[in-house]
Amino acid sequence: MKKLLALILASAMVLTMLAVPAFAEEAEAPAEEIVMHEGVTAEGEGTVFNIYAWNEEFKGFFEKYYQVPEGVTVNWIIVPSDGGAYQNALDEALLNQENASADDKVDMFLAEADYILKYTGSELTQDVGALGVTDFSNAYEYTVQAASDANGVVKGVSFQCCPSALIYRRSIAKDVLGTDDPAEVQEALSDWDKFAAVADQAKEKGYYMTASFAATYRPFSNNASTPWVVDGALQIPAEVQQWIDLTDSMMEKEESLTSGIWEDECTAQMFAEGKTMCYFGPAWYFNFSMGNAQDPEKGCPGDWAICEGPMAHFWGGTWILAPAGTDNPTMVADVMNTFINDEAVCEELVVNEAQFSNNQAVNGKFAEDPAFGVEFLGGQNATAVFVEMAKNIKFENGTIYDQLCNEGLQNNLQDFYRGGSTKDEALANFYKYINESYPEVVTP
Amino acid sequence: MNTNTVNSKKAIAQLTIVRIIVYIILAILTILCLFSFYMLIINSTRSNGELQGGFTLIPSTHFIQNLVNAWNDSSINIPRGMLNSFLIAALSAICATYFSALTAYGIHAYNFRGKKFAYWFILAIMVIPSQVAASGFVQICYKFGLTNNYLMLILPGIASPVVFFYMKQYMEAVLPMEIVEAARVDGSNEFFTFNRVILPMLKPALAVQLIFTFVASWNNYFLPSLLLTKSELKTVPIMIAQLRSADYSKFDMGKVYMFILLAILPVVIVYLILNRNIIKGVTSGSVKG
Amino acid sequence: MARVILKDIKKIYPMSGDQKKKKAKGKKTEHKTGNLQITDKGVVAVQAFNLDIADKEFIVLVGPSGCGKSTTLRMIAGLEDISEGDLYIDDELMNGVAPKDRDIAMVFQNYALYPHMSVYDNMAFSLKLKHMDKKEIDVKVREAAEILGITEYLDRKPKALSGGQRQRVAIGRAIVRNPKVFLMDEPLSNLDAKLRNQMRAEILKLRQKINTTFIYVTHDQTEAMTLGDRIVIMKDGYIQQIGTPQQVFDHPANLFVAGFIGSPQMNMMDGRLIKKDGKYAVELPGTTVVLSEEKQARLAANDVAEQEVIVGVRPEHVILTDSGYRGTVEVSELMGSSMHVHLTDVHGKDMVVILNDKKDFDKFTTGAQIDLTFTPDVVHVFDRTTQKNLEW
Repeated sequence: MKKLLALILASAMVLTMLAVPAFAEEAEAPAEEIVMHEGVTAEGEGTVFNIYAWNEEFKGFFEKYYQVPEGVTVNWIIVPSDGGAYQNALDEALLNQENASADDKVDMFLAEADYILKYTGSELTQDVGALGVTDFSNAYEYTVQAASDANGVVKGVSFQCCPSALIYRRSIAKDVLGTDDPAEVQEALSDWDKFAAVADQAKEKGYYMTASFAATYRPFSNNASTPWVVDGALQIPAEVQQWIDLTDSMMEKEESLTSGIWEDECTAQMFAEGKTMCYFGPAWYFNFSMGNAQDPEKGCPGDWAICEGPMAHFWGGTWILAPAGTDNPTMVADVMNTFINDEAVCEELVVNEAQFSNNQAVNGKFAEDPAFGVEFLGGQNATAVFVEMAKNIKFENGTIYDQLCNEGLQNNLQDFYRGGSTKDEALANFYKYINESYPEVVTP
Repeated sequence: MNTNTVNSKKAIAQLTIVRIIVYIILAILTILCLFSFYMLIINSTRSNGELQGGFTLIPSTHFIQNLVNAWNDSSINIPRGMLNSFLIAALSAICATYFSALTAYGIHAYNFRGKKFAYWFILAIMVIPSQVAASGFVQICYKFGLTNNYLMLILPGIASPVVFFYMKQYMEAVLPMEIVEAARVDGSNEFFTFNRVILPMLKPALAVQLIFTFVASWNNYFLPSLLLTKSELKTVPIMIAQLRSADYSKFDMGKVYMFILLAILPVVIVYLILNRNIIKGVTSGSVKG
Repeated sequence: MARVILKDIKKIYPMSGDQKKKKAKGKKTEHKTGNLQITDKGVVAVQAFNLDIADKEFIVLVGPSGCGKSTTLRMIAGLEDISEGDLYIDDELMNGVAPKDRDIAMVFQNYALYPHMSVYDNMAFSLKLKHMDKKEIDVKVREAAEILGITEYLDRKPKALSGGQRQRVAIGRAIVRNPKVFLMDEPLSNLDAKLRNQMRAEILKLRQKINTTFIYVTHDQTEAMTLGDRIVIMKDGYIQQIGTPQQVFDHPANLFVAGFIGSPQMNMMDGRLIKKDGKYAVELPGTTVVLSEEKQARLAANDVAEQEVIVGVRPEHVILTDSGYRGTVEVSELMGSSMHVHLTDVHGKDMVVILNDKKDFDKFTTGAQIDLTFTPDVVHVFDRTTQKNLEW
């Protein structure tokens, strides 16, 4: 009996394996006319170009828009980020860079804002200016700041810019503020006092201002005026303290739910019957992560709009960095220049890939274009909003401790907001968490 | 007489209550165990959007869609990954059990100087978490250019103190030295004795350890994720992690659940094949039948 | 043709804590180490063992637990190293030869059958290892199975057999090989009493059929007496006596052999050896026995002086008399054709008397007083200090 079951399972598996490629054939996309950048390399440089990444996003762009120079093979080393595997594998490879054979050397790697400082601040990356990437006039300031070390030496570039907007429900805004016009809504929400006041109004009408206690965290933390760790001691930046105070008050008045940003309770509010007015997020958030709002039956596409909100900030984005010891310096510089300075390629990114490119001139063109509206946002031109906002984004006062400080504080405060601990306990737990992760950091 | 019947009635009632409690606990445990499988199957029928909408016990209709999506995902190659994982898992399970049994036999059956030391040394290794050694191992692999080499994932399995210890305990319980001596007198050399006489006697223990090491290797993510960087060499857990860390435009939990569902099938099959021996192996060992 | 010679063979287990116990593989040596000689090199389990075993002889090694009999057998088999001395099989030195090359077969106490193989495969195993022709193997296995009456079980696994059947398979596995020497290590001690008697008879029959050299280890003196051409009695690693069953029964070399062989045990009494009118006699409280001519001669040859001795008399050699060595009946067991009378505290010793005359039986109720004397030709005298038989 059991053997029979095993046999059935085994044959079912084999059959599925054989059967599925049959439908795989049908899904060939028709070839479109796309602009490609002609890649260049130099005589005597490596023939294998190794790129480390944790997913295939950049690989997709690279393969579509960058014509690899003849004689060079691009080798993608994709290590998933789960369990820190990406950084571990990358670290091993970078530390071994000197001994690695030319074909095994890391020539380029990707990093996120959360841990980019670890690499830009070390000897493992090199000055891209020396390689020939010198024109940052069209790139957004914060993307350059993020890729620079403490002395301002630029170690990489970003191929995308992720300004994060305040995303609001038009119908609720009308009910609460009497208007859903982005300019007027922006006027009503242009600073945090106004934001708190609108939250009170929304509450009166039976709405939530935000669906997650952490929705407003990023604007504050992005704009912190002091680093998390000063002279070896942990110090909550004033802006983050301001967020705590705001959130405490909103929680007390029940103007927000206690769930996390990615939790079901928060995303369920995106359905048409949801009662939440504001979300915060960049283009990728409303394009790909607000699936419930886009649901044709239960969602409410078109009932949304964006404005800058109280503070300009960014969320996400990927940087390409140049490791020290690459044997393809010319091509490294060429790739970087392509994704920030080749306007044709940047335009393709905006049009085909729903990216907000890291080229101000290109983005400016689309901001002017009345035909470039987003259906989900009721036809609003999102690029126009982002173009304005992106100029004000800062990437300052970063430390290598930021990621855990941000996570630790939010997680422990969530426990407090849910009634699992007192505020003092929550803060004590946060300090303890930091102590355990970074024994060298002095906590209050 | 009277009190006797009362007592026995009481005893029967007590027994019934105990039985009911035991069955309830067993039922709860069974449900807990099966629940995750049920959820996995349910989730594999739901689209990414539905999955974001929250938790439900009712299956949806996207099973085939998810299967096609997972199958067609350009970042992974499911049959290749399954084959890779199976190759590594099967070989390391065979190496680990065979060589651990061999080691255990060596320590069990022979007398030599330092035998005790060897035994305790191996046991001492057991208490060191393998992760401690792993980072050093990874560095060595990078230094000597041994990444992307399956042998680096298979061979270290040979040194499995836990499997060794299990085998040693099992041998102490079921393996009389006279059998070995009988084989010697019968004209069998030592390796032949081990392979033809001892190994068959260890079948239940081998089956248990084969499935354990197979599953451990099949699920292993940490080392393969660091050592395998070539996409054609990747194993199932890396591919699952890759789906999970896909960028927002490709992110689809439906695919992830579908792949997990496919990924557990081989384990289930291996288990069913070895099942009879496993139950024997878990129950025997202490009592010689 | 298989003559086995053991020359000055010694087994010394090096001392090193409990490792020694493991090496001894034995419950047997473990708790008995106390009596074994301990030298600088270690525990001596077998002391200078000298034995010349003739072709086709049936030798039984017998002795209590820990006497070294199994160790000796295992040394012959090659399962234990020989610490000192030489072992010859057919005049070939075997010390360093592997078991498989000694042309021996061995039957183990717990059968040691290969549990995953059928009876047939168990028996064919050694022949297959010799790369013997399949047909030939089949003939041999079936022949052996026939001899042992296990033909119908050939397809079964050992698990499905009873103890006696398993023992037969173990023997069958040994006899298919036609070995020069057939070693048996307590083959019957795992069987129940009835089966043991039956198998004992079968081993005798078997011996006639296969006619080779047997070396058989047992702790049971009845097995030793009934099976052996010659018996080797061992204790604490030393050979006590080698001889035919009759010899060791009639002329025990020392007190130990006298006590070990024969059941019920020989009675031991404190007495005095005296010379009376130039003749040796033993003086016991209440009776004096003048020894037989034969014994006189032996004692005289040894020039034995008058001395305090231990007097040994087997229970069946006791004679009732009116006035003599007196004891009180504690309990009497009627065995049918004979009666075992247990006497308590006869001058400080307990005694057993076997009576064969039915008309005496009802006299010996508990508490009755009886007087005894002894047949002159079966009284043994042992030195008090050396415990040796003074006739030797």
